Amino acid sequence: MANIAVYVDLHATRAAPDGDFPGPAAGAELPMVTGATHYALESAREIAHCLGATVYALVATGPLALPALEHLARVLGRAGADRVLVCSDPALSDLPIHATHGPVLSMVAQKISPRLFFFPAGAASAQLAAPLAAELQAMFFPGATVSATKDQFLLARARPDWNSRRVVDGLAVGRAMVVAMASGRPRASGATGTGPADAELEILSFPTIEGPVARTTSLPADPADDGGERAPVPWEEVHTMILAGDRHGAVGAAPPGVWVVADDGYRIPADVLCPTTLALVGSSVAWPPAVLPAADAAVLVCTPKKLPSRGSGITMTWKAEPEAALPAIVGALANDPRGRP
Amino acid sequence: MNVVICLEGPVPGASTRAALTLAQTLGRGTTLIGLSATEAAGGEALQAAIGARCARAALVSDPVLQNGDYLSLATALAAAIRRLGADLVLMGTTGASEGTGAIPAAVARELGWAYLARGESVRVADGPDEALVEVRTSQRIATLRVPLPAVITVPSSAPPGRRRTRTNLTPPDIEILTLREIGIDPAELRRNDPLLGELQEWSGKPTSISSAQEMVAAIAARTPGGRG
Repeated sequence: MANIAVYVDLHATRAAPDGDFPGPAAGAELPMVTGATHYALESAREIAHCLGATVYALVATGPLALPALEHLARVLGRAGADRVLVCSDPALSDLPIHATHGPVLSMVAQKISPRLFFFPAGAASAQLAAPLAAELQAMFFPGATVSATKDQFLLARARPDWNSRRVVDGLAVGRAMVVAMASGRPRASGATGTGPADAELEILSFPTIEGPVARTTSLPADPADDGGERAPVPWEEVHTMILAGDRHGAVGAAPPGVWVVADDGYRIPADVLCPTTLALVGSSVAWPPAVLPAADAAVLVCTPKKLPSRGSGITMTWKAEPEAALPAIVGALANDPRGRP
Repeated sequence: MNVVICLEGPVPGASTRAALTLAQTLGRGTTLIGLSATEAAGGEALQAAIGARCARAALVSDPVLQNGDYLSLATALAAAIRRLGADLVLMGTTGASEGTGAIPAAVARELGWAYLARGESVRVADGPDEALVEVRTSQRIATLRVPLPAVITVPSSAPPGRRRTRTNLTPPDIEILTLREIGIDPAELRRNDPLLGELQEWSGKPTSISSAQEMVAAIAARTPGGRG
């Protein structure tokens, strides 16, 4: 029987007083599974039906009490996992990077020999997926979307030119695959997923790491730099992110679920989680702009000087006044429920 | 300290150019070396390195690299990096052609070096054995001490930083390295499957819209499950 592994991304939150968390006191801080992870588990479950595979959810995290681990096993079981592997250690408390989390992934890969190893969209995927693929000599498939039936499953991803894509028939691949998922929302909520109710929980020992290890340190911000702590973006609540240069008009407070990055550098964080990323491209930008690999759709306002010769995933041209474009799009997303996936 | 910047050929993409730009912010104690691997000599990649004041520029050239997968290309690059004597390798997070970002991690594994992705700034620490690297997430900017030698990738969105003045007055010649010269038998890198999947090109033209409402409807109407 084939095995499928899914890396689990967590973020901490308060337990709801009347939530389904028997055992921990109300208000206790419990780790919660990200929406992107639910999406990855849902995709893994669909493929598991096709392959007759066992789905393993892998949690690599800082120290957690047993009730919290049992809670995770219940949540992940409902989300689609058959078994939950947990490695809990202080070394895993901070930003997931290959130096600290890679050995855990290697250990799990040796233990279960997964045919597919999924990473949900997020910071962990950006750091961990490619090194694991190299270690396993696997096919590496980032930015993936999945379509599965009981007889077949396909993986697809857009190429940077936005005029083509790569498609893989999963049954025809003769080696392991490491799949970094595109961002997406699960069809079912985490609490009412279609997976088996009780996932088997197994606790793994943290492997010995040899040699010096990269570690996170807090350093004073350089006064000449604009870095430092930023207000966190509520990515779990964002359904559409708009990447707009500063020439596309100002917008006040964006409506709920819409996040606007008005920055000519299109600087977006590594862990983009929202399902739709929309890029506004103005007339001064050559095609294709560097931002496109991060975007799901591009709206060319007042059309660039060089138009794309072929269509792509979603490319739209719109003859509008640049200053009016962004406010109009934000308004349409706020008023039209079809704009929310 | 020798810093190798791996440049995809023939034309470097945005994140590769960001890596080259970031390399120029490193201190005066660093020597920049541009490295590219391709099936044919030439291309803009190493010209960009020379323009960015790299002290050396090297090219691994062999026809077998044309159909290789990311693992074979990483093997070739790692051997060249050993030959050049690097302490730090900077690469773009994703390439312009396929955009997988697989090669840097594979290069790090071949070398047995530390690996960190999406470093937006890199500074050499007080000691010679560490680099300070900033990584941006949605929650914060984390600064990490990374032991050297290391492979660090740079995203296209990395801020430009302050460039150091380099006084290379003579542009370097491009050193051509064959696979055999760097200790690799070309036959070992021949691959039948580039591990990319089937290429499907989209047809049609961009959709013309006349309002934001049309745009919202077009996005909502796309195939469920993602792009295209």
